[in-house]
Amino acid sequence: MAHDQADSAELQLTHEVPAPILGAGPSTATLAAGVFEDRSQPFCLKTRTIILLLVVSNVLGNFTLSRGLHEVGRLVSFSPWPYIHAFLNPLVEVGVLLLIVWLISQLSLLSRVDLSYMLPVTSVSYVLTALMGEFLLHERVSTESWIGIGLIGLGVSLVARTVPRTAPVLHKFGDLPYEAAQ
Amino acid sequence: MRWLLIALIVIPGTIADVLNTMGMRRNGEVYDFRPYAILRLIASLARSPHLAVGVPAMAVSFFALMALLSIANLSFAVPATASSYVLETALAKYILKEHIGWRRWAGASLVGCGVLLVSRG
Repeated sequence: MAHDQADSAELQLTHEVPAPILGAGPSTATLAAGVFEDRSQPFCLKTRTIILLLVVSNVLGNFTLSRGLHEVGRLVSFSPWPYIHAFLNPLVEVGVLLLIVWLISQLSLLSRVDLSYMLPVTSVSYVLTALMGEFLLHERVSTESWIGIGLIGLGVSLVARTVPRTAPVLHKFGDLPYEAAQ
Repeated sequence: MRWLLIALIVIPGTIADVLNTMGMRRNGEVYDFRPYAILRLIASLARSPHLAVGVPAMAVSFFALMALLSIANLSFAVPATASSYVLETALAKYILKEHIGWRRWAGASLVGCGVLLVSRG
């Protein structure tokens, strides 16, 4: 996948995360076959790629959607027509498309990491939104916001130091551990 | 109206996150991101009972956010969602049985406070 090439330039969020998430660690069987060693590297990178994709699609999606909806105007109604009308705006369409990417990447990430890991780590999107406001839209970022950005950074770096998945993994083909079911 | 929308963002959003986590954990790891594999993934996820509730709940939360964004700024919409970091971490511990040590608690709290400050500024 093309995103793999972007990994070197990726957010440094998860560099502290131990590489073996569940099932990717070397065992005698996998060392002999050498299969999981090959698989564990892209596996780990892809988790980071998903985080990057999730954050970027979330930020750009919210941004284009917010812009588009302000063009459309007031939208509080229990009738579906105003919503359908809003979808005709190109900015809203791009925003919705990006949020579909966001949904798929979020579900994919949830299949690999804990919810309590994903939520804080993906909150970098707030930092990105604020920085985008400062550098692209030339909105001034207040001192309060900078303190907030610092707190988010600190929180993310704490959570990123934990093992991404602690809950037992179930598999649809039975209750075998993930690596055995593969 | 604004506060009703906030409730419609937070409550279905929280339910959606918990159910989606359960559904995805049952589905197994997603590791193939080629277009065909993604279509197959969507087809397989369509049969998941957890996602059958979780994704519509997410859509409710999403449309409520859309509606709120059309009458208020993002800075009004975001603070309420900041509190959900700690709430959802607690739900992850008790419902999803995730192991949450001090790093995750502290991280979720710091992120919640940070999100509040960033969106007020």
